[in-house]
Amino acid sequence: MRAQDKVMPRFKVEIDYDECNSCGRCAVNCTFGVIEFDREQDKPIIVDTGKCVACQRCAVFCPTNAISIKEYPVTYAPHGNWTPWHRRGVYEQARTGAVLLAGMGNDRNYPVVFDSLVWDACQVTNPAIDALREPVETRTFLGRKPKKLGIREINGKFELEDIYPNVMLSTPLIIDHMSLGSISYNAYTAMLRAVSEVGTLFGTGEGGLHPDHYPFRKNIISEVASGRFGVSPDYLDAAALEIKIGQGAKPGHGGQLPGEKVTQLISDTRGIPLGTDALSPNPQHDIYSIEDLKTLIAALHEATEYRVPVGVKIAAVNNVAPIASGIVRADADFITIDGFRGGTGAAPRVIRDNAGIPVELAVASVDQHLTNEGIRHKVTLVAGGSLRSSSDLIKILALGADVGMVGTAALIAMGCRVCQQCTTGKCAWGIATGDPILGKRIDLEWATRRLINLFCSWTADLDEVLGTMGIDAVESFVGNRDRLRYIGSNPEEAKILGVKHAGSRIGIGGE
Amino acid sequence: MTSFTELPLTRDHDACGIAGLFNLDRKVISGKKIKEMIEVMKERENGLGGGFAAYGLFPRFKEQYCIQLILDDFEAKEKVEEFLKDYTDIIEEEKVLVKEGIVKEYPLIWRFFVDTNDRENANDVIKDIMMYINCSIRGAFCLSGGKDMAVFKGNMWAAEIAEFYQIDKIKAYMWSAHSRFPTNTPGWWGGAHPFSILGHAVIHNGEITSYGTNMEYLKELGYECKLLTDTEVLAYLFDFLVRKSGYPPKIVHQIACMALAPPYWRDIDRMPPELKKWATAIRITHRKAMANGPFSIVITTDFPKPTMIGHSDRKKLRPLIAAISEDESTFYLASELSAIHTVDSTTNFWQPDPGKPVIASLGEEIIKGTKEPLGGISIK
Repeated sequence: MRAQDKVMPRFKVEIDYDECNSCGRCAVNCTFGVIEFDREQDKPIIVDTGKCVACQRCAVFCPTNAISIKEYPVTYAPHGNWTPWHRRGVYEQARTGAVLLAGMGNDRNYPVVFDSLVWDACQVTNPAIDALREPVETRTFLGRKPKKLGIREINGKFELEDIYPNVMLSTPLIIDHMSLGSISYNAYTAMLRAVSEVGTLFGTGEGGLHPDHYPFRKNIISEVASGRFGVSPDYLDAAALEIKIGQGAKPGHGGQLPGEKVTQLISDTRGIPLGTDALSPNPQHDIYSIEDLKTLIAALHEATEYRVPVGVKIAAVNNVAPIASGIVRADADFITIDGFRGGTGAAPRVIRDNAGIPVELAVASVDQHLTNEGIRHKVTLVAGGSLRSSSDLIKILALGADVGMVGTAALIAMGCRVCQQCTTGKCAWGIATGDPILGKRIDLEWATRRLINLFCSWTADLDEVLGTMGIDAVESFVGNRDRLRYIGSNPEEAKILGVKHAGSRIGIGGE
Repeated sequence: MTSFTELPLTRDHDACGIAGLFNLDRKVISGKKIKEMIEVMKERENGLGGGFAAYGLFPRFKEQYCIQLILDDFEAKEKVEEFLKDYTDIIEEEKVLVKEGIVKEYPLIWRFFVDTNDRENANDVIKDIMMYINCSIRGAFCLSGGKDMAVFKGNMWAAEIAEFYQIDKIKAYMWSAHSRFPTNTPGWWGGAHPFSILGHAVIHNGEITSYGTNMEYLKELGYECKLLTDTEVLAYLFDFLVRKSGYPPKIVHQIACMALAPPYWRDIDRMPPELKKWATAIRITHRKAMANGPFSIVITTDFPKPTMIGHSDRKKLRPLIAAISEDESTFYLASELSAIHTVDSTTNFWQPDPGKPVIASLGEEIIKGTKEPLGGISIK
């Protein structure tokens, strides 16, 4: 490496030797090769600060809080256009000649639509409900709904036809797809345990399902993606099936798991030979049109004897509303919309950072479009990418989603620091890694409890908020844009959302 | 001289008064009683709207739809007439007589008796005509459009409305009355209750917090909500659930009421299996028909036969009391017992449970709203 290849470090790790007790725990915990420990040295912590990603693992595990991590104090000459971020990008691409990969979700500083929305509350004319004392219901059903019931009268007795299969969720929140391999065995298992405890769902990702996880099938959405990895009768025997067309972090892009990550565990789960590259093509090569999608939906319905809902996941793109309409007409039972902030194990950075649209706009536009076409009641609309807090969940429901989904928030609940190194497989927190030793850093009981807490806490928030709006069941809040107001500065955005500006009153009369 | 000791007759209150009266022998009675019922609850109104719905009004035109309108002027009337001629035969028309001197300014009130050209889909045609007039013909508002029934309402105290339309000279077998205390919208003639579509009329005390969700659902089903009142959604939801659904007449009102205020899941979970299956299916299928927020309502309808329904939200945040006269000839509903006692001291009265409908259908046993709907029906 020439000196010119060198890029100045992003972070500077400093050890405060007044506090340090030379235990070496930092070196044991660092997975990025930043810290080494040499007891023979006067100052035994040897730091290669250029490799630091600010994952905080060393600092959190330091018993004396002797480690500080700062932005590296070598400034780039200020330039409003050529930001350090742009300069680094050019250095990196000039050095490697490659497509840059990135993990997690889009980290660019786009405006967040959620942050321009506020909601309503009861005053005087309609009493607020005390959610701690009175029922506020969050039970939600995922699956197709008929327009009306089929009832026959036979000899004075009324018979009700069965409605379509629906999965009962205790709360309108699920964990989005993450495959075994992109995350560790323990992180994966903890999420399954948590959703089965809470009574909601977790997506398998496209990586198949390990036999250890079959007992959780009532809380699993099995994903059928372009690589078709692990699709077997056992895999299809799940609570719901989802055909993955796209992902918010990389619309139009497939995925690749390099052969070195295909360990015995992954080989067993995906049903591919040890050490082979697992390439998921960009399109599904048997779906080149909406008719083809309809065929696959029908095949999955047939294969499962119409016992489970079959959904389709798409990335939020410009034309998402008519696409969703086509998907409903192709007989999907639910549609999952993944926004451009959605996470990923690995995606080309240029796509992650620029493709797609915010999920808030996508959901509002899909909900209104399907309503205008008279087919909204048929499907369950699931949306995420990304919901950062219970308030984002509440807003997405009001914008028209029946169910919200989280991915990154669930990882953060298990300790993720959002250092965006998921692509490297070196996750110091034992989450986004296939390394079985690192994976053990996730304690199953602890992680499960944290996830359950997150679900309970967001659900309690939802209960409280619905109560303050005088609503005692979440189905009366889905698509209730009337209770949202826009406080941003862009009237066009408010129009697409179908939300009035703050200060405009409710367009209806109370009596 | 101003009295310093006498309680004022009116004070600020957040309420509405509702009352219903139904002669179960289908005998027509004067509007005097319903007028007294609503007047005694004057504390519940503020003079910004009142109205009456009456059934059994037009023995001569029983089979025709009566399109009753308020109109700003004769030009609006002519526009409506032109429009009606495209889709209906106008059999008869008349000016609705009102009493002078009650209110300074008032609209022209007119009714047309019509037969639709398309007999097969007559109800849908009339529904669409009503919506078109209300949304698109300037200066016209359709008060009601059912057969053998009409709605009388306006922007005054209920007692003044009764005087204005001379309610005590009108005879009907089923009546409902409303006095209004509007909170979010200004009082206006069209916004007063009853709110009617086809032969259904809804009077409502409450505020629908699920309005946005209900409105979207109705848009899907072909109903546009543009009249600045949340009561509108209740009328349209009822029309969809009761008429458009095609559900069996014997149980259709119970299904509709269950959809509007479904049992809590915790109660559904404890139901016997058959009822549980029905309640779950109704709640899932019509999830966006659920009316949330505080309400007590009286719905009168002629579909599929004359029926009066009292219903409330699941927490019963607004009052509703039901009663039946000692001779079992008259069924009453009201916000307050005083309204019933003021016209009949012999009644047996009861409090319907929260979220459980009281249903009095001509010739059927009264469902008293003290247990789950569909509970007594043979279902599978």
